[in-house]
Amino acid sequence: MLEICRLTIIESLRRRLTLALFATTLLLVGFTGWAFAKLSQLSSLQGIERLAQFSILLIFLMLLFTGMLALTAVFSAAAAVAGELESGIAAAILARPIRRGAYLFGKWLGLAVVVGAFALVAGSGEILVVSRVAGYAPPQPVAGLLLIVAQALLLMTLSLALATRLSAVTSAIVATVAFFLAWMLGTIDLMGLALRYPTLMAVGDVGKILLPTNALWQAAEYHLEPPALIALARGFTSFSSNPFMALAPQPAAVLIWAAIWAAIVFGIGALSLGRRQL
Amino acid sequence: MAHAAAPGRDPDAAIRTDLLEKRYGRRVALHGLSLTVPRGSVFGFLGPNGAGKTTAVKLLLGLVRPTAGEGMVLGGPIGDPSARRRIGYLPELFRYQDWLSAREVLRSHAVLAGLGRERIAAATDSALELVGLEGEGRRRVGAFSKGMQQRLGLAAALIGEPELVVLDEPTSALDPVGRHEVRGIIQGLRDRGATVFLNSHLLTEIEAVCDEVAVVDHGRVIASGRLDELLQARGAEVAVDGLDSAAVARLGGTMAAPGAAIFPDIAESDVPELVAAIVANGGRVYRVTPRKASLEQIFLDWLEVR
Repeated sequence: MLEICRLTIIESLRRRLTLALFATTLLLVGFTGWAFAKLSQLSSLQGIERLAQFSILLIFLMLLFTGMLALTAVFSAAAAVAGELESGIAAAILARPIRRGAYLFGKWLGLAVVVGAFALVAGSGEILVVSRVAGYAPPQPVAGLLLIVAQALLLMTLSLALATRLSAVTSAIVATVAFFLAWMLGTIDLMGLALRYPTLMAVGDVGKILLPTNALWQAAEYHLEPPALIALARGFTSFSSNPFMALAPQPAAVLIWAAIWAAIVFGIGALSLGRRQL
Repeated sequence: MAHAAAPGRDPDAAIRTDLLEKRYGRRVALHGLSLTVPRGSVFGFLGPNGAGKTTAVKLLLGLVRPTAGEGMVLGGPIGDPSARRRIGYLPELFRYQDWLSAREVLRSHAVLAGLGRERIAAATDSALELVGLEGEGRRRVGAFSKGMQQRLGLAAALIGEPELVVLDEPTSALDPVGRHEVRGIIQGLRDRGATVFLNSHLLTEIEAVCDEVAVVDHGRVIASGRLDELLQARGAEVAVDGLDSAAVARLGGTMAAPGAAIFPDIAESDVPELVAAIVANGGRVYRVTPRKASLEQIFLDWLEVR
């Protein structure tokens, strides 16, 4: 299993995925630094207004980053599994005394290292550069980043499981569509919450159960927002349905369910690969 | 020899299957395969394209699951990881990670096969040398020709001196020199006591190296046996004159052409009596040539009989 993990990491290095992610990180952090430096120079806002401006912008940037990360996780996982199964590379490997579940977990672990490292390096780069040039730092950046990594790993697990049966492109597309659907259902949930409309809230809950990525994003968002802004926003109903603001932390049950969800989906993937004719 | 038998623990058999069957929906890819491959033998699994040879190999390695039947490989049920530790496999569609060097591919196979860390470097070197890729170990597989990739696949199958080596069309991408070298490698495997399961539709390849063969067609084994018995001399061709067709027929032969009679059932020990009988009937014998069966002819006969 560790050998498969090692090979997966080497593959990402040799196929220049790591290099591309590194270049993306530089570009992202450089652009963010430039934009926030300009904004800091030009903005005349002070106090809570300035805090709101920078924190909302940073959260929006992190949301975009989450999307990039999701696509990275989904496409790299789909290619890593479906690519090897379709090309025949996997047949030579799986004829060896390695269980298919261990093979899949080795792939998962290797990709988790690559995706996790990208998320942590690029995400902390974003936060650090904003803090340096604009003097704004979110309250709990580590928790926020870890939840963003967790969201990417969830999608990666889904893509990996799908790729045990579907082609790389199909797996990646299905996982990406699921990601956006979860986001849409999360927004419906927020609207239900604001309007106190149980049907909408129920739809949102179903979304959280089916794919808890958006719930993880909202949990991350909460950790990235300044408490003063949250306290202020709680006074306005319209803020509670704003998909770019989380006014309450996610219950622990959601985070536990996300971990269980990942384990279940991985298990289904391992079972599916175990039954696949190679 | 291939025959129906229950696949119990047979210490003399490297492979033993009983009515192993694989269906994909309504299509039968392999129909009730029952065979025994003795340990230490080179077993040729013959058949035309699409006959079910690769399906049989994949079943034996646990890459596909049988629809019915059972089998034992190296004393374990098919697909058993501990048995697979002692098996080397060259797939028909050989593909290796093109972003790795040849040495790295072999190293990963050695690790996956469970070779101890201290044995890996030496095993990699000797496998590369055995297939003629010494000096190419540091090159990326992506830069290899198809033939070199097949050699690499062969090296991966041989790494760690497995007890059973399963080769699925091992020379499909090789030139005549490469094919000759592979024969030498297979003979070397037999000399060290390994069992070789050779899947091929190349009859010359099978004829040159195999001890036993089984022929599969349309998912069924249609014939099997020891190769030397199958290729035993059968009959004689006699250059003769002075005999008409009727006289030749009385002696058990047929006139294949003017002056050339074929006696299909004559054994080598009966040739002096045959010559005496021809002379006694007024014939004159110029030459007697034993007829040796070719595997190709036998193969075609088998397919025709079916």
